[in-house]
Amino acid sequence: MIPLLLTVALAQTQPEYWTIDYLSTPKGEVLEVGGIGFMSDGDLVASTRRGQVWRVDNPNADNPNDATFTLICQGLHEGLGLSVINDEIYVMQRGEISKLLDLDGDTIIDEIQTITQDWGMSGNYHEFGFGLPVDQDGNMYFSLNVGFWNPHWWHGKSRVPYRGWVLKLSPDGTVTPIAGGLRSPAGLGLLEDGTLLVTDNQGDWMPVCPVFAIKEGAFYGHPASLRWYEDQPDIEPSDILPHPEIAREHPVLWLPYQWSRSTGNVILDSSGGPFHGQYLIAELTNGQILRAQFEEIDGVLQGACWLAHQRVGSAYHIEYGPDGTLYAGMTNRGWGGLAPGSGIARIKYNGELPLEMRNAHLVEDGFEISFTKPLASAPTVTGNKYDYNYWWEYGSPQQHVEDLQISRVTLSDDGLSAKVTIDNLDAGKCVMLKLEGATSKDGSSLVHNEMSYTINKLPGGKLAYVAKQVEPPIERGEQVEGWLYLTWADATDMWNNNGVELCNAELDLDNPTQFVISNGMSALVASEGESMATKFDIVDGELTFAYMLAKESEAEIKLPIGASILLSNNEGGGYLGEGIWHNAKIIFQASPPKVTLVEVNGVHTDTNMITYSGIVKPSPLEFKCIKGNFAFGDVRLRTNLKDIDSKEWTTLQSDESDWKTIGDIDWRKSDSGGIVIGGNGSIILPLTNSGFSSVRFDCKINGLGNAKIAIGDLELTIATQGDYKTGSINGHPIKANLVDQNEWCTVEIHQDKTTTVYLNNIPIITTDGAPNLTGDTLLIKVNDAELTMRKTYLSN
Amino acid sequence: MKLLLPTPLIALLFLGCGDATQPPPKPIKKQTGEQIFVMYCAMCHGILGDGKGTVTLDRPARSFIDGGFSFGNTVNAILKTTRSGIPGTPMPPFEDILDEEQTTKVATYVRSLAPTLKDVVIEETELVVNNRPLVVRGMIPPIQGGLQLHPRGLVIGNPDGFSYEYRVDDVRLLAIRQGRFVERADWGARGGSPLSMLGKIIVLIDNGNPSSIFATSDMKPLQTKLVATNTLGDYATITYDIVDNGGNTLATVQEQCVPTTGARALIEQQLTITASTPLTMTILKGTSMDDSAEIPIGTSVRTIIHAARGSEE
Repeated sequence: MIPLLLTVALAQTQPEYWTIDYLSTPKGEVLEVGGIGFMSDGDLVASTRRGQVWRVDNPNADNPNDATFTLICQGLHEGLGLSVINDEIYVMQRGEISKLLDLDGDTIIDEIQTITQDWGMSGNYHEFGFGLPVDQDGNMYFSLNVGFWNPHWWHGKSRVPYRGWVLKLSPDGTVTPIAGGLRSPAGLGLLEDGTLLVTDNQGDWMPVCPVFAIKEGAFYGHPASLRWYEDQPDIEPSDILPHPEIAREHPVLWLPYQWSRSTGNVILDSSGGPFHGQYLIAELTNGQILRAQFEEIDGVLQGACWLAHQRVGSAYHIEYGPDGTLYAGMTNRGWGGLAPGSGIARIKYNGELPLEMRNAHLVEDGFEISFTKPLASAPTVTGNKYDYNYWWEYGSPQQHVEDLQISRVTLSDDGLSAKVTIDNLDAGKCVMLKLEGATSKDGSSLVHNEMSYTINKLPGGKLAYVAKQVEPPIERGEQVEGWLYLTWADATDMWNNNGVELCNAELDLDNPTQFVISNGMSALVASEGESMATKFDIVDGELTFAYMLAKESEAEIKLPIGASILLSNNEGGGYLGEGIWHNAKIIFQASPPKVTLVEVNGVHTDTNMITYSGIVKPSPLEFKCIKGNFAFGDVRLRTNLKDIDSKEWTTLQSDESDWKTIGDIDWRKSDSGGIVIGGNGSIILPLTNSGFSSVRFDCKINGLGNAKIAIGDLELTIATQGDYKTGSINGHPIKANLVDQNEWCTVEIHQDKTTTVYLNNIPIITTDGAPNLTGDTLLIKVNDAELTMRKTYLSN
Repeated sequence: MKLLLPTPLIALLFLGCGDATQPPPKPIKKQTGEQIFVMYCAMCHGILGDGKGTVTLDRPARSFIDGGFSFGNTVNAILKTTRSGIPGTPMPPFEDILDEEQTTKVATYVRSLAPTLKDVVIEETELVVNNRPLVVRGMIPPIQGGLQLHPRGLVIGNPDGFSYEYRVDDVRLLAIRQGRFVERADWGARGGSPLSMLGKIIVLIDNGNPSSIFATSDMKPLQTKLVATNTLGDYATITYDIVDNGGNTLATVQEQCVPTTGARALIEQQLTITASTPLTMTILKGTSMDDSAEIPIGTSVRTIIHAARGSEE
């Protein structure tokens, strides 16, 4: 077995220029910070996702333990935004913007005044409200998340007014919707000139996380909120089709997925430090802060971003204190992010100038990049360009990735800037540049050597979308997609488990070679030598999963084709480091044996280095920790679906006039020629075929109940709840929720000496003791559910 | 989903300490993890697992309470350490002393001593009213079958143990409860779930779905808009405006609820109404009012009386 080593790059840290420490929050309290403001006496005020407001005295104390916390308000309906105006505290709650008043001078809040609740709430769990920057005229800005509904749980809908919009609250209390097309606009900010910035989160119609500069009445791409445009009164947004008739606004930045997966707010750097006047962006999943700079090219705003501060923790809301200290309020619950997942971090500049790219200016044929200190010589520059798909699917991989043809790098006489000449630059692309060998005259090397730039427009050129409208992906509702969710519901049911534990895990900050674990179900945690292997065998497939490594840890994914993928802490590609959850995707084929894709956080990893030996034979898929500690979860697998061979299979035959129903059920034929049965009861179909030993059909279930399909003595369950879930047969429960509600799956049952149940072509049950399949009726029983069956075939 | 870590923290039983100079006692079957810990581990690691045992060692034993584990903090990692010991330290191997079941039990117990950091537990999510009123905003779940969820709601908890459940998209008192206050379950997972009421319902107003009690003098129903909640006094107040269809404010109401003492348990919903136009109030089923239902211009005080369940027998 030849392990594949993920791309190696140097870890980038910068401890010598900035120090990061953490305020000591009161024992037993978890401050999931959603908003930060400052009182005139220097006290920090923080609102939390748990509905509390804390006042922190002495937040800038030399010793972070000397800052003292007072709980001044609780019972709010989330606090994902806060601002202080003239020592009055305003909080963005899910259902209202409120002013908090201390009437008797003891700092504890006595009165909560409702300033506005002028927006809709349907009760959907995902309808968060975010805020609350204030412009110089006293207007406050807030944004409203879309709700999440079908066809997939993450599919955004705007069922009530202004979900997916950003709005303005004027000092007189009036609320004005400004712009829509947003999805999960979790962070707001203001440019120095007062332009409103909104960040969004990757998902449907958002290929990666963008930063938008908001124009009144503009549309930012997520169609759900088109319902509330006054000039589009008749529009009913599609779930799956774009609306090209509505002009879509460009973001000023698409943040590289490997840098930001859950973006928080944006602030102006007002620290007086080396990047004064630029912008900082909070990022909670990777737990870091990015730096951005914007410029207008022929009137179009766009810009560059860099990594600024890494391993901060789940930074959701950042704010500068009056003294120039950067405070990062953290929360991870519900999203998952780098530890610490709560509390307040402080980032202080120690005054020593780091060597960094300071600015990037786009010119027709490249970039003029300035540096904080003079370089000794011109660096070597490499890079690529890519774009994204604009579609209803959750996020987009980088598309049309091409190397940049960099013909020349010229350093200015003073060493403070370099012109990078690029021969194949075009609009509608994001660019990632990497500088190597950059050393300043005083001997320091570049702290962050990568830069991303979003080119909506080249000087003098045409405007082009980076997120390109493409054919929508196949509507999953009508297609058997073939995925099995191998760790949903009962996470270990489909696996032979050698010591792996189901729990919650996050990196132990005191000893990053291990995790702190607690009761929960968010991770499968393996220590050295521990492993989980599927109970079934496969030969080829497509695999996705999430994983996190502790420091000095390694894990491997053993594939049935004589290759294994090594997951290690070598940073680079899409890998970000220990304690951070990553999404991985692996595609492998049996003939010829080959790993065709390895992707970490959407970044392709070179697979050419793998050579293969040994015999390919059906075998389990295995996750194994080979060193240290390894956490993984959400393992999904699909294998190639077989087409129906009409020589082998005949359509199930039954005379409709003989069908009988029992109980309270409704049935009808579906448009696709299948049968839909709902309610509580049974339908019996006498069969005219006989002598068969195999059956195959597609089915899906909605509702929380279950359905049973019985042929002969064999009874197959279709359900997403209970002990017998989809794929179970008599005496052989499947406890994992392999197929979700409303998803088509293909079931195939073969019986000779043994009985095998295939779900989406994966053999989930093999037994020699199953009841006899052959019978003269097909009985379908539904309990509080609607079952749809189609393409039903029998075979000998 | 299956939970593989059934490790609730159990109260410690003081069963006495072992003595390092004596051979370890023979294992007895059916011991709890805690009993095994006390017998074999406590002499070094302390009866509380805090590393303060009775035996003097050349280097201190691990404090499990602080969550530190040399080779990982999963039960499996602790199992391995317990079986094999840590070479070069006083931690001996227990492979030949404890059988597999005992080792598993003691490792599970030791893991349970360590802090669990980020879990939301009921103690954290339950809001308790102490010496001043507390108002909690959140989603109000359907009070009974067939009723709807109110995405905007609030619950007032007063120090006397009574709590008041309001919808606030159009401010209306829905129910009065007594006992424990509210579990804030909306922190869990990805958030966004309704509050969970812990008190027992003693008054359900109009079956939990009251219609508007304010109308114009010619009986056109009016809406209300939340203005503020105040928790400075002994009883929290809620203030709201009465508005017409055009959003014009016709009156402002400040309301508090006070239980009366006496033979019958009654709750008084006390309203101070400042009206700029004459209004009419509707007396809901099961309630009574102390004064005229007609509200004149100016400031009027009205008390709606609710009889608590079970108090009329």
